[in-house]
Amino acid sequence: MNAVTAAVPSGVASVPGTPAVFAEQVRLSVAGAPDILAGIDLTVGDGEFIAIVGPSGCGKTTFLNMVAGLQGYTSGILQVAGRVPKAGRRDSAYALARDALLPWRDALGNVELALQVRGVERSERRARAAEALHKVGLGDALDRHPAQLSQGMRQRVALARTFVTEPRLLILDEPFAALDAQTRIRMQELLLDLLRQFSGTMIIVTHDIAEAITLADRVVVFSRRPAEVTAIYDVKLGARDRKTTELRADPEFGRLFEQVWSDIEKGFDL
Amino acid sequence: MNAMLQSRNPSSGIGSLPAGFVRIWGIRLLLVGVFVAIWKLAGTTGFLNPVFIGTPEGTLVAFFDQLYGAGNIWMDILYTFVETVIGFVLGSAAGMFAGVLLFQSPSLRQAVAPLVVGANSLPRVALAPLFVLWFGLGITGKVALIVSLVFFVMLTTTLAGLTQPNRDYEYLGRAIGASKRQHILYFIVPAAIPTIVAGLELSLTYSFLGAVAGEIVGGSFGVGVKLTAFANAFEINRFMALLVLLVIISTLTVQLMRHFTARLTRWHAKEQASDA
Repeated sequence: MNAVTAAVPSGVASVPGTPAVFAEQVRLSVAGAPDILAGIDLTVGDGEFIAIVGPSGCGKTTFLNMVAGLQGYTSGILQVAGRVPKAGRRDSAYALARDALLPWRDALGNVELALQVRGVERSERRARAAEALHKVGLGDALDRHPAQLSQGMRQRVALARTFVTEPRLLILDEPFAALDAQTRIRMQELLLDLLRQFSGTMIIVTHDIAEAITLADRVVVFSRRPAEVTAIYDVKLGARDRKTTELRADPEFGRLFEQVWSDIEKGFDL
Repeated sequence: MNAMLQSRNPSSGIGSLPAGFVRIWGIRLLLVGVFVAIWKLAGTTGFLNPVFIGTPEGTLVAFFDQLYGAGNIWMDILYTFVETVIGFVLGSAAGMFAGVLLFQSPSLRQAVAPLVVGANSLPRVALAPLFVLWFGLGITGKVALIVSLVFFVMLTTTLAGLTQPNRDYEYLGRAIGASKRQHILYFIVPAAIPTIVAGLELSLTYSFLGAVAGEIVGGSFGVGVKLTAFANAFEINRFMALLVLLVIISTLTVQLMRHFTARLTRWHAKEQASDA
């Protein structure tokens, strides 16, 4: 893992040594049905980028929702920055699989929403939202409504909305799943760019193995339901400093891809 | 936005009119023309008796006579219009209030749901004779009839608008830490507005219906009273002319309301245009 040099935003400094996310035997059962999570063990260090992959429907999004405090669990220990997960934490930001933009707000209005909820003063929040949109390349589309934006642009707005609150913990649930292959790679490129100026922790759930390897320091493989962690791979590609296309050409990338792929396949054959 | 629209709809060459404008109005006028021609032919060929259906030219004369001539009906129009507006405002305000109330209390909602369905399925015009009995021949009875129509339209549309489920917004709202109040303010109410505005438009049409129907059942002034009198006296041209005027007035009123509500629902119109 490369050293992170960017400054930590003031006021949200975490306790040294406390993992960003700590999960021990986190289980989710529902009455009259097989368990959804069999017991997840996972420790995510502060400042680490983690990608969770696994067969579709395995419960990776469910686990992510637990970390975001949007979903409860049956048993086990789950901590975010040393505390029980709680929805609406000011130091975390959550991006849904569908962009979930509000169609009645323009791009700027969508991005400023989280700041508005926090009571940030109007002129300040609009300035910050505009800056966030500039960073994702939508500086000239501030007043466009979602209906006037392409899928890729909508997802950029969603990214700007995620980053605008300057979170310490990014929780991304298949953020690019709805995009075509080309746009998706460009969005990964953009996300990598944004992450270079980001010193916090990221957890991303994806069904796209290449995306996981491109974006993460470690790739966590979930088994199919009831889910548990079957493998964790360190990605030693220096992704944080390289272009996606360059990464994909690296032989190590292909080797890792094969390995993760076969792990997920094994999950199906169980 | 404008640039996008224009590139998709190149202007038709007549000033800055959008393409299709001329064609759409052409079709509209053609349809009206065909209707008038059939009406005229049915009378002149003896297929239908003009005593019962009037004539287009007679209607045209009566149309201007009712506006400027000896038999002008402005007082009756005004009377009906005032009833309509009062009934519409009272009925929709009460209906929206009840809708919000039921939205906030799920148990109350469940309790009254079958009652609302029952009351809503009652043909409210059937109440008109009762309202005449209670309130006499004046404005009050008509307003009551309109309120009985509009109240349930607004209750159901308001409630439907406010309770449409959206899991994404719910997750997003919780993730950004929105309070219950903020969630209603930023997510639920804006999402409900197009539905509520559609309900208001329907209610305005219903209000005209209620006013005229109320007057026909029993009243001393108003368009409905005049219509009954004209029909009874076989003054079909004047009857038709008043109907045309009524259509014009109610259409203009609906357009006026659209003008004021367009701002609220512009995003919705865009959304639907991009879906198409």
